[in-house]
Amino acid sequence: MKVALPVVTLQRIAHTLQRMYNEEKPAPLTPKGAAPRCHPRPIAEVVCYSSAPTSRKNISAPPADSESGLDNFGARFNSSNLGRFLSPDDPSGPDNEQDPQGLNLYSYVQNNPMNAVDPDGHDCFYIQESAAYVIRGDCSAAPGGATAVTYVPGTINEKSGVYDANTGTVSFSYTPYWTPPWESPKLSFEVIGNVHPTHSGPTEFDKFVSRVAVGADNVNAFALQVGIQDIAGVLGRMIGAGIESVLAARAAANAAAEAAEVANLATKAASTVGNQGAVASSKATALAAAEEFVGPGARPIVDRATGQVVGKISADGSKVYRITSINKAQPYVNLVNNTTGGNLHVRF
Amino acid sequence: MNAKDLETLNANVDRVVKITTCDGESLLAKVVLVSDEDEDVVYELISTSREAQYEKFDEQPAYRVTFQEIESVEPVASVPPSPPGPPGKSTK
Repeated sequence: MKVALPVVTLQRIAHTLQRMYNEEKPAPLTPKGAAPRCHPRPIAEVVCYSSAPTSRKNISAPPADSESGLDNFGARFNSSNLGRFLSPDDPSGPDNEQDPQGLNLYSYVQNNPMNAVDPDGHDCFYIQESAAYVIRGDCSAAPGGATAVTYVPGTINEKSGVYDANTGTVSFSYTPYWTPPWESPKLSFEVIGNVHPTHSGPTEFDKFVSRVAVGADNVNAFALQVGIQDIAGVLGRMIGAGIESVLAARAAANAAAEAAEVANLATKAASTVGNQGAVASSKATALAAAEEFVGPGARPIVDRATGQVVGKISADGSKVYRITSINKAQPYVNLVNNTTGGNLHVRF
Repeated sequence: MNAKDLETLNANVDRVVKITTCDGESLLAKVVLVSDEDEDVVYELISTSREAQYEKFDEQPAYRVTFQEIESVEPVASVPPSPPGPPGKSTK
């Protein structure tokens, strides 16, 4: 049976909210249980507590208090009409004049709801410059450039961090502050995306990195990520420069080495006299050298019987490469220079 | 293909030859490359008796034919010999 609230009750709630809004330190309210339902957020998005998961795992979607109409975040109440919490968050560190939004302990996700969510207004995880951070309290201490800002409804165990290099996912366990009676407690959360945890400044995440460095179970994940065996050296470089920059430098070095190899092979083929041989590091490198050898405008060479392309001939017809021997026991690409009469067999 | 045909091919690189294949195709080809090692010939196709069987490409490809597929090779003179003229009369 549906029972309407008395007008007096509604007026009292409205008066209380107005008074709390005008005061600097309004009194916190006690959470009350409520049935789950979709609820409009102040940022004009509609979220549902039991909705399908999105890329951001901890989408903020608290149940609403049926009597007051406030959003029950577990530890605090938020008024969607006022766009702020009704009680201050736990102090999370010294005030930062460069981050004035962090001074307001009543604000919802530092008034930046498009980039962050806050299930209960407590612990926070974020990514900045390839480093993962865990901070206590809300995200008021998170810098402006932080991404993947995730408010966790409980206390994050920073030592539980696990990084999956294959999916780029970092996950932590946490002790929930409060769980709706209709749901099982969630004991972990994960952030999906281009996450590369590393050390950058004094954060709680240092412990995670230290734990990896001394050979905990996350070493394998990092070893897979970088693909080499020198775990200690790799971790040292990662900690110093960040995983992304290390991988980027490695990729750039590999690309530069391959480009140099391709150029050397093509140059050698252009000046080869007689039959000579060379070894490429890979089939792709050998073919790239062959392509560079015949140059732009080269035309394909088609096998008359099979119709398969078996090589290319340069635009002026003076240079040819063929891969007709590619299925032999020792495959190679044959670079033929009709000008010099030379053959360069590039094996791989 | 016999040794003489191979000799003909090697002697006519960058020139036009008439190649007859074992399956009966007759083609005029400009020889680009003769490979003793891979036992094949790379050529530019000028004309063929089986034009319909060739796939059409945006740009004309070169082709490869193996020694085993070649029945015979004949050189083709790049400049046809001029026909003999009528016997001249002495003006004297």
